[in-house]
Amino acid sequence: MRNLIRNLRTARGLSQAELAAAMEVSRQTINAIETERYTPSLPLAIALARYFDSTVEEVFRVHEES
Amino acid sequence: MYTKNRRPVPPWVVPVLVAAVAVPTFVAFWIGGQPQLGAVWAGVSVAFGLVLAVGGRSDTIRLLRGADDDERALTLEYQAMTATALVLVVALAGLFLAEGIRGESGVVYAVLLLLAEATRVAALAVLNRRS
Repeated sequence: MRNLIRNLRTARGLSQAELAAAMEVSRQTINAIETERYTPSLPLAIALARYFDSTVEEVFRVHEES
Repeated sequence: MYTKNRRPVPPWVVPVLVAAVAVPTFVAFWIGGQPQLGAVWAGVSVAFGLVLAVGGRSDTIRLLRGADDDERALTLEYQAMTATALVLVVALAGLFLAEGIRGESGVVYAVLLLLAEATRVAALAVLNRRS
């Protein structure tokens, strides 16, 4: 699952810890999402998208085979 | 937020619980007439508790302590418990077969394997009804 979390976070000048605090998850979880080692639950994905004033479809992209 | 499912576990709880296992361990072996062996196993529990207490920089130790209480930590916990159960079941099956080869009944291992499978069946039945 590709995502734009790192780009959106850095564009706002936020650290991983600050975003983690806003989402009430650990910094390690934000790092794992950004590095695409962990796919967040639907509630967390929605919360992240809303936090960046975006939609889940815009923030997260499923790997599509060509 | 909804991504948090439980109240965070204070960092001292798990190390203290692990170390506290030393007490019944030592008492059991002391009653059995082997206090020295009991002290060794109790020491293992205390040592593991100390590792959990002082290993704050390690993410794995933090997970073992329940420090990162969010959905990813819970997912990792479930996967780790699944791996643990798989290893235990395979070990029990191996010990059961070894008992058979030695001409023993293997009843203890058979009962434990049946308990494991009964637990799995019951868990699947309950979870299936809830979801």
